[in-house]
Amino acid sequence: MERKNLILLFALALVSIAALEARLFWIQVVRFGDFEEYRRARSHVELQEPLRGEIRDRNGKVLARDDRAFALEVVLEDFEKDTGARTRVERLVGTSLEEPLSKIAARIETLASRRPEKEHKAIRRRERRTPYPLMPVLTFAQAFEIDANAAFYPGLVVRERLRRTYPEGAEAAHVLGYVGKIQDDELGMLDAAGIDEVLGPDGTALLAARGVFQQTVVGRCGIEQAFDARLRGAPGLILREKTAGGKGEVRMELLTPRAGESLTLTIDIEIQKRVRAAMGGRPGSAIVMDIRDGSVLALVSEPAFDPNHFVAPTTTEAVQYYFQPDAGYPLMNRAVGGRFNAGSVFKIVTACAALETEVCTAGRVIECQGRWNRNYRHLNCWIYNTYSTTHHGRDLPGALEVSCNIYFYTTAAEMGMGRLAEWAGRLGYGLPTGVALPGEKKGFLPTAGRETDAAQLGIGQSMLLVTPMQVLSMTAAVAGNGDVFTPRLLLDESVKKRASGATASTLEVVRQGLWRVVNGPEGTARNEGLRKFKVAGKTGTAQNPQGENHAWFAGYLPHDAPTYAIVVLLEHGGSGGKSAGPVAAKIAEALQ
Amino acid sequence: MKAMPWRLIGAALLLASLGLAGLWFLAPPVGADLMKNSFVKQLAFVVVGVGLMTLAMLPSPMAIRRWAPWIYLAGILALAALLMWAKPVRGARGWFAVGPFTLQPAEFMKLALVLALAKYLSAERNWQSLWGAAGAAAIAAVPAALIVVQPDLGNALVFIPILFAMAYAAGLPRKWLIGGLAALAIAGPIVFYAGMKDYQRARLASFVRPDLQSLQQKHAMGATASGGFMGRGVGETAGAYPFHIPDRHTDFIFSAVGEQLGFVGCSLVLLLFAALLYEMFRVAWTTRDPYGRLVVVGIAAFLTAQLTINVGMTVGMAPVTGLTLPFVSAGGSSLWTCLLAVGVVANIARRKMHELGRVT
Repeated sequence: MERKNLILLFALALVSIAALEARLFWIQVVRFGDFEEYRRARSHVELQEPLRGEIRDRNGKVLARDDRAFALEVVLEDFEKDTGARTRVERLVGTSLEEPLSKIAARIETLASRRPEKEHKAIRRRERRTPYPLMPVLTFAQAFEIDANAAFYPGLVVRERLRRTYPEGAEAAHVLGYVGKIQDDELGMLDAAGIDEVLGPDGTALLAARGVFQQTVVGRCGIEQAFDARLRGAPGLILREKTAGGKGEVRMELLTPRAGESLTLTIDIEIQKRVRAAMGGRPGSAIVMDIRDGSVLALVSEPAFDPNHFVAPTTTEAVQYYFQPDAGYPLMNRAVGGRFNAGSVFKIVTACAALETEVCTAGRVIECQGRWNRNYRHLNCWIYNTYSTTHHGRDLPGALEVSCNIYFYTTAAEMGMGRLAEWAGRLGYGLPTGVALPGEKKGFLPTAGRETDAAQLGIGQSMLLVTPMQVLSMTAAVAGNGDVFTPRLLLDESVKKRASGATASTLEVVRQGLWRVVNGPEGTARNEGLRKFKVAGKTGTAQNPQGENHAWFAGYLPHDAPTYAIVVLLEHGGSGGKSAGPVAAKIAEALQ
Repeated sequence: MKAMPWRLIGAALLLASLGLAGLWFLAPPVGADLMKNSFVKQLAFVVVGVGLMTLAMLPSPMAIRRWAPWIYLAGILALAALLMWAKPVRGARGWFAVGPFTLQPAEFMKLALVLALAKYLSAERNWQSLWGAAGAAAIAAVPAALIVVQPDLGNALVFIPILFAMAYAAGLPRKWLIGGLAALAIAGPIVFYAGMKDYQRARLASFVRPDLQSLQQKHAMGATASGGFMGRGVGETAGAYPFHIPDRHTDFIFSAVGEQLGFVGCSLVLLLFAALLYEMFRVAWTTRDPYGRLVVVGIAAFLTAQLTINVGMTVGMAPVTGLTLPFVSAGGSSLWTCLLAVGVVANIARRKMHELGRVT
């Protein structure tokens, strides 16, 4: 090897460095003036909201969609140059802008305070040239006025945005849920959207500090919350750059927004509306399920709310109304989140369990003497307490027909707590049904206790607490072939079911009893108009510590080829047959 | 033992401290925690890097020469493992996650290649036949190919000047070198049209047609230029948003130097690099160890190439390829590779004849 080769190599290295030096001299010194425009350019990055997916009913009717709306942004530097601008815009929108403006000022100060003292001035200058969100919603007229008279409203920028709308109002409120503004601790959800990748963590932090994400919505309650990730989509980013004279504007898409996925529900909004109408505004819940695949056709919880009231701009009065006790807790979804005493609808479980454990056969007759046992004075038959009479001797279907307490006290006590609770568990009690709605409760199923506890549980009293969805799930299992379905709310959700273990012969006997509840001469729901629609089912009048009894009806139709299961619960509605029965009849009519 | 080459080490450490200072003053990421974290991280990198540099001075060049093929092999295995197991970061499978840190084997591979190639080329028979020369090219091509498919074009490109500078220094016949360059010139367009991803093509095209220039590069160049002769002063970054120049504290650190310290500051940085390279070539000139000389030439070549490409892309003279500015850019792998390299050069500089062993 030759040492002199090194000279050429070193010379090459120096030439490279010299070339860089020359280039630097060229752009930094000679052509410095050319970059004047770059120094004075005003540019900022805008978030482009993604279109949130639509929610449709099973027939394609839109239940939730994004509408166009207008928001107001302010560029402080221009806005404050004209002292009259604030008065003019305040007069136009009819509210004081004191609060939002001071919030923006605070944001800028926070941003500046994160950096060394000497940069503060430059940051303030930069931020005062950046549009900040001022008002989330403008009416069309206001937006038009500001947009058309830009000179009259300096520094104000109207931006199109999206606003969630629920065309059916309160009709399917508890299924849909609503959307609300994102909270600061949820901003992490946005990282996945790829913003970080484009802007870097510091760029994202800057946007967050400016409050750009403040108007981003996330699902609260219902389908909006449960499937938020699918509905949401991903926001885009747009860079807007104004050249020094303000003549031209460059708009560059840094990140393309991705629209959210639209979802199709199993709900049929026409049936839903009629079910809601059948409830007549009384507090409680009613649900309809297709027992062939577990899909939910209607889910009503009353009192309801109008999800539109929760989408910005919210009026304080509307929101306050929903939270005051007199309103009856409309935000609670009673269908899956309400825990109620079950009452006699639970006798379906006792009947199944008694047959399966061979404690009794269909033909076993138990004599009702009004009182079960002279040792327990509070354990009487309802007919004894109400009419001071008895049911005399009944077989199992007959006991279901008249809802004889003595029959089920006896069989439950013979089975004992363990076996009865086991069958209750198999039919879905004490467990969440797995429906894709947030806030589902699993109720409470006692699993141990004395003979009297078992007897009490046998008629659905005791410590037992159930949700209407659990009762519906059990009814559907009994009406079908004993499979307990996970209730489905989306058409593309897979059908999930598990076998309860109840045999066909057991179910046949129980269904016979449920048919007699409606069609038998002494049936507890014989006069409620259910017969016309071939409904079979069980009434329930649940004693509860809060006051008037809860009225239940759980049934299915048509009884000769079961297709739909129905549950009705009227909170403190009184007698199951008299109150809940007619509601079920109206629902059955809607299902014809 | 000869005296420590303090000027060489001093220049390297000055550049590393500039990078550290840059994180705090020039281009700190927004957000107090982020800033503190990246500064503390970089500080740790510098401390560990100085330790590594010292370690690199300990073994005799003979031992390094003996280990070179194994170091090279380990590098190849690491690169292959990346392609199989690493999770893509921004689309490239170039990093291993080690706790909160990431390691980029492509950076270390440059040094490994220099050590191995120097061993290969220091045997005369290996550069006097065409097959021997082809072998040298293959030694460089294998890791380059593994890096290109990550994909990381920038780091792979650096392998070309390393190969040619070392081959030239070893004394390969000129006609072969010219032939090699011609082959590259032919292969270039083929790779451009057949082997590149769209975004890579777009970056290269933007270099030829400035109207296609990427936003990042446009802003980096604008920021650099707007520093003027004296710069806008330390901390005056307000002209550019952080999101105009992503990676400002890593690949585009030079734009912050240009904006805040101006032509004067940039020239000082380039002068420091020139001094560093001068010291390296002086070591190459004075050492009597042919292996050591080739190593120093290789190291000088990759530092020069990286400096030229990095600053070149900041000032609009080279396409954006995602290469760091040696010593200065934030990040551990790049810094450690550079400091290890300086350690190796210092090691060679300190050895006397009898310590070099029998020379083939």
